[in-house]
Amino acid sequence: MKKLNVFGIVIAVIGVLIILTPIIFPVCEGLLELVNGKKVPMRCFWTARAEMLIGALVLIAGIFVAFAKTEEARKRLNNQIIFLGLATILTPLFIIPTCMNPDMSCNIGTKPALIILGVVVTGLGLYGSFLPRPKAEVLEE
Amino acid sequence: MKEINLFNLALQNLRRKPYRSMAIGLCVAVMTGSLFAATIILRGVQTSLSVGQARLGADLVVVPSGYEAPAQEAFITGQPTTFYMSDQIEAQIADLPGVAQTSSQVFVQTLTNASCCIGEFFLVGFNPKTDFTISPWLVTHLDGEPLGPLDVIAGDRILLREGDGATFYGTNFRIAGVLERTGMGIDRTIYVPIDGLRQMIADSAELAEETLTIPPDEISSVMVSIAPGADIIDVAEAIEGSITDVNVFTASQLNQAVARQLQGVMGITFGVTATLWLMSLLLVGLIFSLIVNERQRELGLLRAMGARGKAVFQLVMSEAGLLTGMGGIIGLVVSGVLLMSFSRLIQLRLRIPYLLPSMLEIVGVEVGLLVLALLTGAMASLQPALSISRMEPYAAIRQGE
Repeated sequence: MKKLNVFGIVIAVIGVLIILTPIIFPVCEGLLELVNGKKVPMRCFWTARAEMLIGALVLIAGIFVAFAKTEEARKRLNNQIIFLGLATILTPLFIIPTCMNPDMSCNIGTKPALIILGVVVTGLGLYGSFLPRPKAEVLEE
Repeated sequence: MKEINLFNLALQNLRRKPYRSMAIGLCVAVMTGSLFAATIILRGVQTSLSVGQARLGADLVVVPSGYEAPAQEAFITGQPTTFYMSDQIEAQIADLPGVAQTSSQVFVQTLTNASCCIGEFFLVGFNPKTDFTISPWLVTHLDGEPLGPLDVIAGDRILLREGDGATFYGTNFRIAGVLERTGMGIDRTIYVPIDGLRQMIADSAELAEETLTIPPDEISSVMVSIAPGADIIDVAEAIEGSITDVNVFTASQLNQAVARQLQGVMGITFGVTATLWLMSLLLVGLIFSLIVNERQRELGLLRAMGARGKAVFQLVMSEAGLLTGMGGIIGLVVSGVLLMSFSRLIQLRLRIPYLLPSMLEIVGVEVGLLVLALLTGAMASLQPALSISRMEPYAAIRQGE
């Protein structure tokens, strides 16, 4: 009988939340007009795209943790989850920063939500990697 | 092996039923967290209003008739608005008894995504010679230098710093100073000296994409400072009585406008929170009476082995205290993080002025709410704890079988 790891399910749910963040807290909708007249989306649009991809990776990693059979596999997956959590935090801050104006919607909603979720993912990854897992917290399928 | 003491025993009992413990803790966390958020938002609005009111500097603000509400909105949230009246009104107000000082302002159309700065902000012309409302609150002081016609003062939320250049309607300006943060509309406003503003209006036909059409003899508002000993209401009535087509509002009316805005939202929030607290109290009470009933045999055996009634009472109370205390701490931490992260979003959505209260005040509210959470646990578990501690060991063992 397979045992499903609750810890992995929690990570997968947070992955879904990261994917949904730019939908719940939308980034800026306006377009920027270049000198040649071409209109392009603001840079926070790309932040949102990158975060949705990272969220998908967190979701997949969480599912793998939920179904992982050995402790070693879980630890390796959790190491990856730590990096994905850090990527979730660093993307809106440094990798693809959101817009400059602190009052724009990407800065007042999307960015703080992503940072909070990133901190939670990193914390869960650290917990899974370095602390003993609670033995009782398993659901039987 | 861990030492057996009251704390460890209570902790082990809570760990035996993790989901039940989590449910109670979560209930208390939600109650404490929402009460904390509501209190801090309310205090944040009050802090911002008192700072903003002090910095408004004027006792009365005179605007054209019918524009009282948009003018108040502009002061509170920085929502741009335009309306004009004759500049003769300023001289008429200055001549009235009880008026110590007057200074006029001119509101200019909204500027969105100007070349200097992204976003929407409010452009206001002021007279540096008569001004008593803006200049005293500059973070970066002008070192006694008079403002030139093209030297402007920016609010804190505008991403410009002293010495930066900025172009509005084709005219180049220099940022001469930045105002201290207030959490009000002042933060999203750029103040331009009236001579520079008139020059900008005149040049806009040639230099700007959009021509400004504000006649040189028109102003938007007059800030009034009343003489010592004069009554604010009397002066306000005198202005409205002697000058036609103007409305006067006092700084305290700004507070009333915000209070009206907040009344609905805060009323619902406090209502929901009070209901949550009552539910937490009932839930914790109910669960603890169930726990005590379920563990009658165990607690009876404890008594039979020599534990006093007081020790059993303390054990049940400790479990309740631990649960509600931990729930309270979690609620306060989560609520604090969410409040700090989304404060700007809340401020913009609710259209309220907001300035974070002092750290001492925040800590005070946190301690108060933690005590409330602990009291909730103590009140709810008092009756079950008393009944089990008074029960005879033999009766407790027999009834628990």
